[in-house]
Amino acid sequence: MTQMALVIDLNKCVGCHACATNCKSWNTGGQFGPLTDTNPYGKEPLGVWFNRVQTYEVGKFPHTDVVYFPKSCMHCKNPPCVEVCPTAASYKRTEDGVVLVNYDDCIGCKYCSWACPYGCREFDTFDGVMKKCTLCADRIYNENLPPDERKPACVLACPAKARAFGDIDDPASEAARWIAEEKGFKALPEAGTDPANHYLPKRKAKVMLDRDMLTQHAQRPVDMERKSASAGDVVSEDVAQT
Amino acid sequence: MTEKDGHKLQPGEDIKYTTCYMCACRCGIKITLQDGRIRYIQGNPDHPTNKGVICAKGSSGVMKQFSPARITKPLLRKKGAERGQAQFDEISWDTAMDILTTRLHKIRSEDPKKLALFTGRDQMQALTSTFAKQFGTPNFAAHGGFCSVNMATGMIYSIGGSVWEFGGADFDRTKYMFLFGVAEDHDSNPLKIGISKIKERGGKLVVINPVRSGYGAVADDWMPVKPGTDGALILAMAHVLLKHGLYDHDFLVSHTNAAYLIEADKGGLNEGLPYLLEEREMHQTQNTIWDTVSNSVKEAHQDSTKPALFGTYKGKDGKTLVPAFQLLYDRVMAEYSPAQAEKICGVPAEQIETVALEAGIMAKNETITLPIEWTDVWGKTHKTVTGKPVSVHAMRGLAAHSNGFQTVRALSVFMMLLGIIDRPGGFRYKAPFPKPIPPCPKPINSPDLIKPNTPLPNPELGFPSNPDHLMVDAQGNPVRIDKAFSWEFPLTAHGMMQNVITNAHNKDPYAIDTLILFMANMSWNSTMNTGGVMQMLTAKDPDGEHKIPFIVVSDAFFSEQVAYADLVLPDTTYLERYDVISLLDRPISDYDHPADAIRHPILEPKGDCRPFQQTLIDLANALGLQGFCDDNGKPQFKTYKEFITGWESAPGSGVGFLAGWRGKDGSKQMTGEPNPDQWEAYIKNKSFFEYELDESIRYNRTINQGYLNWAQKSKLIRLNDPIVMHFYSEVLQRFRLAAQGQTKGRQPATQAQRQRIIKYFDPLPFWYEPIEQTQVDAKVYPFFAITQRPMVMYHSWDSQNAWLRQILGQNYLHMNPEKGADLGIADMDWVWVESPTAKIKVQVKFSEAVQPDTVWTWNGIGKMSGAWNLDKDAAEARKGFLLNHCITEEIGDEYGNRKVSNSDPISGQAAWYDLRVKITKADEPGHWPQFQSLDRLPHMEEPRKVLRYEFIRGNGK
Amino acid sequence: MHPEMSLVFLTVFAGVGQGIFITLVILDALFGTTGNLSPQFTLAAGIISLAFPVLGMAASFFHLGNPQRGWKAIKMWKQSWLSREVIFLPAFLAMDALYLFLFYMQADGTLRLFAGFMGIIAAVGLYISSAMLYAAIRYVREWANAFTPLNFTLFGLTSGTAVILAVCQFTSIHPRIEAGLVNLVAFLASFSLVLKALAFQHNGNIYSPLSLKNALGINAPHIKLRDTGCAYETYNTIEYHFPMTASQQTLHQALTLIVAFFLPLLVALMVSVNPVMPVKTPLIIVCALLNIGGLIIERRLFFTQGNHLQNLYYGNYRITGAKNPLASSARPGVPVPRTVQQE
Ligand SMILES: Nc1nc2c(c(=O)[nH]1)N[C@H]1C(S)=C(S)[C@@H](COP(=O)(O)OP(=O)(O)OC[C@H]3O[C@@H](n4cnc5c(=O)[nH]c(N)nc54)[C@H](O)[C@@H]3O)O[C@H]1N2
Ligand SMILES: Nc1nc2c(c(=O)[nH]1)N[C@H]1C(S)=C(S)[C@@H](COP(=O)(O)OP(=O)(O)OC[C@H]3O[C@@H](n4cnc5c(=O)[nH]c(N)nc54)[C@H](O)[C@@H]3O)O[C@H]1N2
Ligand code: SF4
Ligand code: SF4
Ligand code: SF4
Ligand code: SF4
Ligand code: SF4
Ligand SMILES: [Mo]
Repeated sequence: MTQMALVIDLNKCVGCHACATNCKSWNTGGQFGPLTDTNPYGKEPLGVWFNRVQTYEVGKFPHTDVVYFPKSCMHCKNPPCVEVCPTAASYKRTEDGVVLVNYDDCIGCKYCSWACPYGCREFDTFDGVMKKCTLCADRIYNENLPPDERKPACVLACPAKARAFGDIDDPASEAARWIAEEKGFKALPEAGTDPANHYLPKRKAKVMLDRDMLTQHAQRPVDMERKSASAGDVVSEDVAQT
Repeated sequence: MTEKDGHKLQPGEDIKYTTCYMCACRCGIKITLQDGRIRYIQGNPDHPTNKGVICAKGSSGVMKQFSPARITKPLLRKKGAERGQAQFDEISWDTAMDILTTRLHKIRSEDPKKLALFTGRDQMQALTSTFAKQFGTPNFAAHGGFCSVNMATGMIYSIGGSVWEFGGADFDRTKYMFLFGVAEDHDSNPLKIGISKIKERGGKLVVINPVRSGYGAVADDWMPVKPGTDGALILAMAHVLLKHGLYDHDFLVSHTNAAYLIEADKGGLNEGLPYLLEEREMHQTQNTIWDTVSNSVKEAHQDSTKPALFGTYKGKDGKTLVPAFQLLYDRVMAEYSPAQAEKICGVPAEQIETVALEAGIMAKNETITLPIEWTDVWGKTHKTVTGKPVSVHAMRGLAAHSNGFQTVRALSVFMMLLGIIDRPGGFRYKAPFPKPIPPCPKPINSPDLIKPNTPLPNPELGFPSNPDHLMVDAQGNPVRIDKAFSWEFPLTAHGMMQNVITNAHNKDPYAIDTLILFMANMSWNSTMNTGGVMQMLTAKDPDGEHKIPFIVVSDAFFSEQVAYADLVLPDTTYLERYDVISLLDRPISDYDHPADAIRHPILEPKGDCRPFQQTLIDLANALGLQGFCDDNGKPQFKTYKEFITGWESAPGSGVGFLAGWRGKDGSKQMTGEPNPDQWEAYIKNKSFFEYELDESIRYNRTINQGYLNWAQKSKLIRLNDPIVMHFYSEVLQRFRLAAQGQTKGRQPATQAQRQRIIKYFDPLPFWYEPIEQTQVDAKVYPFFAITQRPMVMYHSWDSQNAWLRQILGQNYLHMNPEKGADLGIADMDWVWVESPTAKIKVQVKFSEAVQPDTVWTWNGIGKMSGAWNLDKDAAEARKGFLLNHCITEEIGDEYGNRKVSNSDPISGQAAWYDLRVKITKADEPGHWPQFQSLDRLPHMEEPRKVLRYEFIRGNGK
Repeated sequence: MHPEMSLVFLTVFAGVGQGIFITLVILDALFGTTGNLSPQFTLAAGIISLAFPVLGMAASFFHLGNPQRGWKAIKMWKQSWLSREVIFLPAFLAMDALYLFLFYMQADGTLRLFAGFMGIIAAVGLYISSAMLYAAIRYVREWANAFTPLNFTLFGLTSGTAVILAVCQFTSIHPRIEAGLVNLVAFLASFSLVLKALAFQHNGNIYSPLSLKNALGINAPHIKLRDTGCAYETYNTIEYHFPMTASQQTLHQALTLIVAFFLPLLVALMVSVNPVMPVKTPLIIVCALLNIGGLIIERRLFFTQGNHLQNLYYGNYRITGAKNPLASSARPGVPVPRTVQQE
């Protein structure tokens, strides 16, 4: 099987929201757009986004970790949103596992969104249809784009290179390698949706302090320099020469 | 169907490249256009700065074009309307230029310094400063003073280069990185790319910051330092390095003045200055070291010698001589043990020691060796370039305190001790840096040089190396309106924009006539004491004339500042104009590539917008300014575009704004005759130019003869002398000597000034309590209060962006939950935040990711109701807030009652982060203070209710 | 979950209609030929049984983003309860209408009863599919349990019977049948009362083992949402979340039980004890109105009590326990949690 997905490295994500806005920029003008914003300059704007980034704090001061959690449709292998859709507007592509919505069939009943445990679908009140991350279906095979740009917009944008894209069922893909090498995990596995998107955990770098080094090597230059210095302490140029 | 850069262009489709300006990072962007509209903005994959990635703001660039806040007509304050009410008449450009030209003409022929030109977040200081210089006013500066000049000067005065466009960490090799006080920084995308590389390598990132967020979130170690105390922390790390001998002897000796002998006897003209050889040879330097081979004083940097770092010696003349290193050693060992530092900075001594040891040992153990041959300035050829995988980056967390200069000095010394400057794996320069310490340009230094209808002989800004370079009059009083380069603030290389409004209002040192503000929101977020400053902008003399008679604002949007203008000049956006990102200013160079870039119009200017650059050229032409016009006052360049390609720093110099495709046929790089087709060449090359440095001149550039020769030839530096880093700051000592009365030249005018300089101008780094904090009772005001940059907003100017404001429309005051509970405050409560000068009401959000004595918020989110053409009840206005209200722009002089600018006493950097506050629960929700709501400007449309940016109607199939 | 009134009206009104119809057809089957039911009664009850669901269906269109292609919703009947609902609702209406038509035309009784029987099947199918539509949402534990179909069916029957009883007041019906109906209402109301009370108790005891740990894959205590990354409400904070305080919730629960079931039960009992009491007619009408009104409160509460798992990501997921880190991440106005969970 082919299952395209995103892999997001929480160890690299700095919470910059580039993936969110670049997603919006590409998709609002794209085949699955527009991503309507109502009241954009008003008191309460309400916009459609395919990708949002949440901030969480873990632990108590001073042992606090900050985790940014970018979240878009997980393209579940077992997508409840597709199962419940009465019109088949929501569907999962067999060829690559991407979960999509056909706006022409969607009646806007919102039922699919209720069935999603992740909160990854957004309703466009203006169009009256459900919208969501398309895994940039209009980029990834788009022959009009240069080959290295046939990737989701969020992946191209991410300044921290915290996002990989590929077929997670193909061990050779970058996405699958990231998952394998860094113990990629799924969000809310308990929901039973088998999400295709994966996250990589935080991994703290540890430096092994070689304290021996301090006595063996490091101490010496100080001692040596100080010794030669103390020899010089009393010697002054005049004394030496007169 | 045509092909372009791998794209198969569809009908109506096009691809263009330019430089982003959603912030000052200068990333290259690639824009897909469909029928002339922007379809998509992405990073330019070939660009040296961002290598294809893009940030949240850059990605939202298209929404800038949609902004309902765009000003599209020149505006003149309505007769009878007050400043601040934003009541304007639309006028034509001709009228606007007439008003301005007449006014400036008069000023120039009477007293040019009555024009003050100050610019905020712009990237064209090379042009604006040239304009001011040719106009003849010293009252010019860009935003550096209120921004990060401590970072710039602290490092430039120490190592001849700094961070951002001037230098940075060698991310391709570094394995251990310290990040001090950085939330986002100018180099935002490169930093993110770089940090990601470190993480990929399994390297360690240590973040020193009272707040853990952003880059801190991915840190492997977090040191929650108390604001304003990093100096102590850094010196404690230096203590650990010194204690264990984890410093780089060879580097200190060859690259720095650490081994130089300093005259240690008290008194006299030479106290604390390097000891010079009596027989002065025609050599680069006459500085001395103690040679442990011959046990004698020898000229520094001689191959045959082995300089001592420790010891006390006597010169032939009986003088007591001590290597600079020993002086620092004594201080640091006595005063800055980790335990001592812990008491100041709150970071556990053990943690300080551990990270210092980790870095120090890694620097010792893990040498990077590159098989690159290079020759040093003493003629010695090295077969390899070596380095260590330890690096440092820092920003406003260090800079924005009144002790920031010395803290950045401490950091520079820490880097020197580790031996990690311009070597693989460490910190590396970007062209045009390194520069001599301090760099050559000196500011004009006398009021006598300001003459009617005459250009200034020297630039307004520069790097003083001794008191003779100060801009003071015979009595020692400041001559600039911002009091930069005065005895109070001597090394203000970027000026002190933060003082302009207050000083102009107080007519101290004198009254000005016209204040031109370009791209600065100084009535709001880039000012301290916001409420007070708004009053100063409207204040009048008894005769009814404004204290600041005429205010001109060039802005592209309806900012809070616009409301206070008499004349508003509508600027274009970055997608509508020509711009240069020049090597004369802040270019886009990386470590191995001097580089510069341009912008060119992707879209038509909106309405009657006109690029401010063009306005300046028109003004210069109308005023007949030299450099813009020939000797007969005849304009040489009609347009900014022509000016950029045609202008040379001096006739025939071959140095212009752009370094690529110079020479008549475009075949020359770096220097060469003007090339009229230069713009086209840049546009063809995706809007940037990159010069590739030969491998042999990429490292150790301060003492790399090949590099220095090349840089001199390329006119980046004047002389090809070695640049010896100032471990010990001779410059500071010269000022101190003047203050102590031990010089023959200029000396401070008052006792207070003397005391101030004696205290702060220590040639060796030290930590002192931020000045304002010494005047505030910490028991009454127990919290430090600071701000951070949000990654999704640029200062005040992105709330008009339909997408970005959906991410961050309200800011909260983040505080430690336990501290909150102690004060009876619950999460999400509204509280009063009170400083000694002002108070505001804001909403609290508890956070475990902040040092408990510190509270923080995002910078620049709060807006004045109605500004930016947002709904008057927008969250930005009713819930979001500015901390600036609480920050005072003037503090007490510790030796008198006079008020001085709340800035670093050395560099003049605004001390934003010295604020202390108290916090009490508020009864009512809602932000306070609220100002009068601004009405929409007449020519502005009502913002759209539904925004659907679309090209192809959606269909899932 | 955010209570959408269109759905509240749809489910309550359709439920009433189904209840009326089922009762009517059963009465018809039992007594239709005996002359104990007046034609006016059957006609009136039938029309009302049709009117209620039609009203509900009209309301439901307000829920759809694109009602004009609502018909497409029948497509996935094999897997989607919503599809099935969309099939059963018109099927029920059709059978209801056919039944009425046949009755009106005084056609063959068997044929009518057959249509009525088919209508009952459709009505039950509609009860089940409407309820299962909610019960199938695994991520709302307050919905995904046996109470949901039981409640939907039982409450629909209760209200249907109550309305029928009201109709009896205006049309002639054999007093014994009426008395039986009174008792039936009393029985159904008391049964509903117990069932809803149990459902509330069940909801109150729902223990969700899931927390932000699971949502984020981070195995550490004290995880707190600091920023949703959205300055304003979004679809995902509006649709899935309705701020309600604990006292509001208790009030609504009490109101539901009292208004929808207890008061109608009281009325039914009173009438049962004293079938000839003077204010019987108004009382019985009030009984039906109270029951329907109460059900609207009930159905609204049914939505607001739904605690969707996705709320975990937005700090709106309700978990009890003062020490629970999530408790503090709740936004202002978040109902005080009902379950106890310790990290
Ligand atoms: N997205 C975005 N990018 C920007 C800007 C923007 O507005 N938005 N502005 C641009 C400009 S003009 C500038 S000057 C740069 C500034 O770039 P930064 O220097 O990154 O800006 P600040 O947000 O001031 O960050 C200061 C950091 O220092 C911390 N800090 C405060 N006091 C101390 C202290 O005493 N010690 C330590 N160690 N840390 C401390 C704060 O918590 C904060 O994290 O960013 C530039 N880039
Ligand atoms: N409390 C607190 N205050 C701070 C800071 C802090 O950390 N804390 N940081 C300080 C720092 S480092 C800085 S640099 C300042 C920044 O402060 P400012 O330089 O005042 O920056 P902005 O608020 O972005 O305002 C710039 C103005 O430029 C306008 N503008 C945007 N694009 C264009 C254009 O293309 N052309 C023209 N003509 N105008 C344009 C905007 O509309 C806006 O009015 O803020 C300072 N203020
Ligand atoms: S994440 Fe949600 S919307 Fe996406 S496939 Fe899974 S269940 Fe469906
Ligand atoms: S909203 Fe559209 S996609 Fe979702 S379930 Fe309804 S018809 Fe299907
Ligand atoms: S894959 Fe495409 S649609 Fe999905 S989040 Fe990324 S950019 Fe948005
Ligand atoms: S763009 Fe990358 S670093 Fe930024 S929020 Fe998204 S995943 Fe994180
Ligand atoms: S970092 Fe600044 S210049 Fe670069 S893409 Fe973002 S906004 Fe544009
Ligand atoms: Mo700045």
